[in-house]
Amino acid sequence: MTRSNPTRRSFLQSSALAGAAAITVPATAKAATPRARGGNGKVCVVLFQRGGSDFLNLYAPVGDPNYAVKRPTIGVLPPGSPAGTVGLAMTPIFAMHPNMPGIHAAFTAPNSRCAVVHAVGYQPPNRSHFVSQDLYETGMMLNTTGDGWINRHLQVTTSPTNAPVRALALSGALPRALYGAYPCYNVASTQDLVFAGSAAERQLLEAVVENTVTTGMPTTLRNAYQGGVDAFGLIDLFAPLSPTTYAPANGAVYPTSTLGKGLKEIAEVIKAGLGIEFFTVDQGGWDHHHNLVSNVAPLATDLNNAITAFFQDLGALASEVVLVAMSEFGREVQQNGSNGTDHGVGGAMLVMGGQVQGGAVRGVWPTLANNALDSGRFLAASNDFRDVLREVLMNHMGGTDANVVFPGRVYQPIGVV
Amino acid sequence: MRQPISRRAFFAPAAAAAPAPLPPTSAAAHLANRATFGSKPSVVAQIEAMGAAAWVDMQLEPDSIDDNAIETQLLTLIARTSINAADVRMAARAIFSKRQLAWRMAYFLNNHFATYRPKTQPISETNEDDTFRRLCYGRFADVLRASAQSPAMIDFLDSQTNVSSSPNENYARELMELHTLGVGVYTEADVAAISRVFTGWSRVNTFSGTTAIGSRFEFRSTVHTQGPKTTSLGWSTPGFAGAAGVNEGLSFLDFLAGHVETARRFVRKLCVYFVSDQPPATLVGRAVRKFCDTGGDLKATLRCILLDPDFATTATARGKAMDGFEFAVSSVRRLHLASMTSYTTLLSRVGILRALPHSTLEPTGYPEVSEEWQGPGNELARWDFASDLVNDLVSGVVVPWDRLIAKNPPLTAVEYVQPLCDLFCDGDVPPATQLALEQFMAARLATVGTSPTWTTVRPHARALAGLVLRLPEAALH
Repeated sequence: MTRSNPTRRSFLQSSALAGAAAITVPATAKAATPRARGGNGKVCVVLFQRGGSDFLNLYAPVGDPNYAVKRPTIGVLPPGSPAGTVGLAMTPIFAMHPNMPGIHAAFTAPNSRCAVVHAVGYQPPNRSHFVSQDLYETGMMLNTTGDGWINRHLQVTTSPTNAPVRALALSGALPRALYGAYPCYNVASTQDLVFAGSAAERQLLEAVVENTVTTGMPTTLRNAYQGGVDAFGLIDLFAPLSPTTYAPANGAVYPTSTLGKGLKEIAEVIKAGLGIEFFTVDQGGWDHHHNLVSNVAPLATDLNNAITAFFQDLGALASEVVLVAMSEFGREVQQNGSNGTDHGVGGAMLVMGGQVQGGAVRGVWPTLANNALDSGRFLAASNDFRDVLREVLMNHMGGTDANVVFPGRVYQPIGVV
Repeated sequence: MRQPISRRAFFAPAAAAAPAPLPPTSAAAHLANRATFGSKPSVVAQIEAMGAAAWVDMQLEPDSIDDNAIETQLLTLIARTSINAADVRMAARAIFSKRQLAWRMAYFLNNHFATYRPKTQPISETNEDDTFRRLCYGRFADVLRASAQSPAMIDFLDSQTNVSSSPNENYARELMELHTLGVGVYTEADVAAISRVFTGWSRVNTFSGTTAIGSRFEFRSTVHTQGPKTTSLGWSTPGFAGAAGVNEGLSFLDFLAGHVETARRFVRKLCVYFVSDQPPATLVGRAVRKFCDTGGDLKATLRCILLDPDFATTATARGKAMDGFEFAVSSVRRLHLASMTSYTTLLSRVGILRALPHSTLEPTGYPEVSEEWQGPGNELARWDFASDLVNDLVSGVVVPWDRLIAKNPPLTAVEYVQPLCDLFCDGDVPPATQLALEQFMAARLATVGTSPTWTTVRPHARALAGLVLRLPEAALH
């Protein structure tokens, strides 16, 4: 069921080969190009906490007797503790970082749509940032240079709204999850999607990138032309938006951070109904080998404020949107000599929105008992991240071909979506 | 409905048609593009006159090249301790230094051994860049040791807090994964063992009177892990007590520098940077052999790469997308300015092009491959910079139209289009595009009458130059 995907470039090439070599600049500006406008289909937002987030600090197992032993100076304290970094009660075992009251409120709300899946990872674990990010983003355990899992999902499904763009990354570089044969795009900000210049300049440049015969050109040069063609396509698609003047609804206040800006721009795009199904956005800085307490606090605040504002802003549309936050690994259970933590194994995923089965920490909890730790040092990866993503695709996004998206994975239900 | 905008990186690498050597002028321009931060007609002419080998050899002896003009300016341009001194100095040298190849190499090394300034002392970055420049034609082992003992690296990868009572694995892992061997060669147990080898590698502030002016490497034997350490790599140490404990780390660095996997990985990365995203296996093989045969001599290796028969061919020419920093400084460099008094706007624009030096949060540094700098988002950021540059909106840069084109504004469009295509695209613009540009300019020249002045023509020259600098060809070198 791979969809046939005639590209603009292949269309242009066939006409170019028919003999049109000269560049014809239109005498007047083109009429605004009508684009397919989807309805408000289902949306998945993937938030990657780059660097290896310490989930034993964000969703702290304060009720596990080994926790305080292994984290004497950097651990989150149980709810009710008199002072210090006192966690917010989630379950009898877990407490949320105190800088995340908005997410905590969503977690504890009646009929909650906010869940945490803990002790998440894959086998065998890899503690390299870059290898593990690639494994998380490809979803293929043997091949870190392959397609991204989102891209493969797009290859085996069709847009319910026939949208010209189905996935957009709000980042300077295309994340691995979007790599692959299906056309996906990245911009650092939707504010960039304007042409800085006169209409005449635009007409000429657009004619050049669209009409130049690139057959026989080196790959990199052809890709440079394609980048120009795509830039004009995105400018047209996003013309109805106004990210510089966009006013969030329901009193939502986004932080001014990269993550806050990214989620705010994503909210505007979702509301505009362009039919984009997948968004990715990154939050950097989660590599706290030293001074974990002071380094994590501002990141937790940013994560909380951005996600809280996002769902507040979406209002009723929140039922159409599932946000998944993840990182390439968790951190070592035992704190290191720098009051930080080194690379670990089991992480966690925050899953919010849609029909998420919230208010619970999902998945198998392996505990921090010494004999339960991976290699005696790390939270075990008892739950596979692919099973969480599979549930998002199957139960929220309308289905997928899991054998293609997560090849070789034998599904173990998590029950989060 | 408009056709769907098509896929990024739609084009698979072209089927390998036999690459042909470039004609002499194109080969000289190609070398100028890769060995400098932006070709100039004067450099191309120099390469043609001297021959590529003699020109490369000249660049490989940077101390014999008089660079006083820019180095003197740097003395007063910005204090070495300023927060962004290292960025300013890197940009200024990229644009104005006559030791272009040495600074290209220093830029590469600074990115290979990436550090993140918000986590280091600014002066450490300034000093580290100068060290990389000083060592860039020496032995890889010496560069590796300099990086390991650089206060910037010590801060960035937490060596300072890596102590025997509780080791920190950050440096040990990235040393093997990113700086030398690459993943798959070492084991997790090796990471743990090597983190102990480097316990006690720290830094201490240096003072001028009572003012801290920087820092230097210091080995703290009291927090160094005693006893033997072994690895799966064939390297081990019985462990040394007291001050001699530092020799464990030095020995391991030398071991890594001489490891064949380091040679393969590092030299291939050099080839990706200087030659092609898919460098010819023949060229890489010769360069790796040269590196190994010379004990990791970077000068011999670089010479081997730049003068390789597969360096300047139809398969490699205009085949690399510049990174954001390279695009910005190359565009400015091609304007032939005498000097710049401010780099503030330029560097903030480099930040928007997401390529500010010393600023990658992750220790991988910026990617060398073209694809990471292409796509619509990068294209639009470049277009914005191009437009601002030719409109004198990058402060410190005033485009010298009378020198770039002619003292008096010419009467025909081709007299504008040709020099601008030469300037920004090395003349490598398809004829149909050039014709369209000429028509664009002719229509504007018709509005200014038969006695144009730069005052009347300048707005049109700006629009034209902005178009040329936004062409796909201008983003590549």
